[in-house]
Amino acid sequence: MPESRLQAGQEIPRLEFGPVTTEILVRWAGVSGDYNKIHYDQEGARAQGLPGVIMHGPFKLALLCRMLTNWIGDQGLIRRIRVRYTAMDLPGDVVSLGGTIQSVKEVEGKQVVSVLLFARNGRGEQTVAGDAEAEIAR
Amino acid sequence: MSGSGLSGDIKAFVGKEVGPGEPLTIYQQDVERFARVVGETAPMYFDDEAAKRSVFGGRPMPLAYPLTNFASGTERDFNLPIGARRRLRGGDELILKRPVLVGDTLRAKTRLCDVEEKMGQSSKMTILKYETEYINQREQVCMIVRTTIIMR
Repeated sequence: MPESRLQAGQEIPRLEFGPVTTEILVRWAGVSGDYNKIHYDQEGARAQGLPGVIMHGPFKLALLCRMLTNWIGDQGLIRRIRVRYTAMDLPGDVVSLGGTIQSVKEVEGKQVVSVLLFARNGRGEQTVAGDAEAEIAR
Repeated sequence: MSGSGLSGDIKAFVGKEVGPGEPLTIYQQDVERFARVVGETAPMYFDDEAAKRSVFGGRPMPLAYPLTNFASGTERDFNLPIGARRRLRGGDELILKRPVLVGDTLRAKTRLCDVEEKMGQSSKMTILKYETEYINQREQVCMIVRTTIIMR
């Protein structure tokens, strides 16, 4: 559970992941069942017009969920999370994920927190934009 | 329905539903493997006692776990007549209606919500939007996932 009193404008603790490697993308493919070649086969990715293999969008979503879960603790749950994958993360990138509280409400004894989310790649591009709503029991 | 200029063949798929497909049971070892790859450190994913003390009351399924783990539950189920060489994921929205715990069995039911064609920088792209409901063994809707796929 977050230690400080929650209020709009606060940043939530960031998460850095990486550097991304093709090996970690293969591991993700194994646990997620997503074997699209663009994530592990350089030639297959280039044949589709990409610069090379790219990180899976849902992997970045899972990392945002990890960041939120670590922050809200085991008495909180993510009710909704919405993301747009706006640019690519490539092997070698360190993915930086973060968020800012938009609002905090009290609903039936729980804190309901809305958060704006982002991920950035190692080249300074925003690669995910999103938002989420979490409930934290008091 | 948006996207003028779509072929009638594709338009005819909008609003169609497929599923529920093959069931997927959430196993503890699969959740642990998934959590390790993501780098999760929350004890509730790895330890029964910690999970019992959590708001879930048991080991929860990570929210992103079902997105691509189902044999069904994607636009591929509709066999759309789109000749595109690249398929990219544009976005996802996950809505948790009820927690899913290890031991639950889910089935996916998917509806194609919209198909739109747009001109990109260099070529035409087709944007597909679909919604998948994940239903547990008690016939309760646990999660709704809205996904955007870009074909070009």
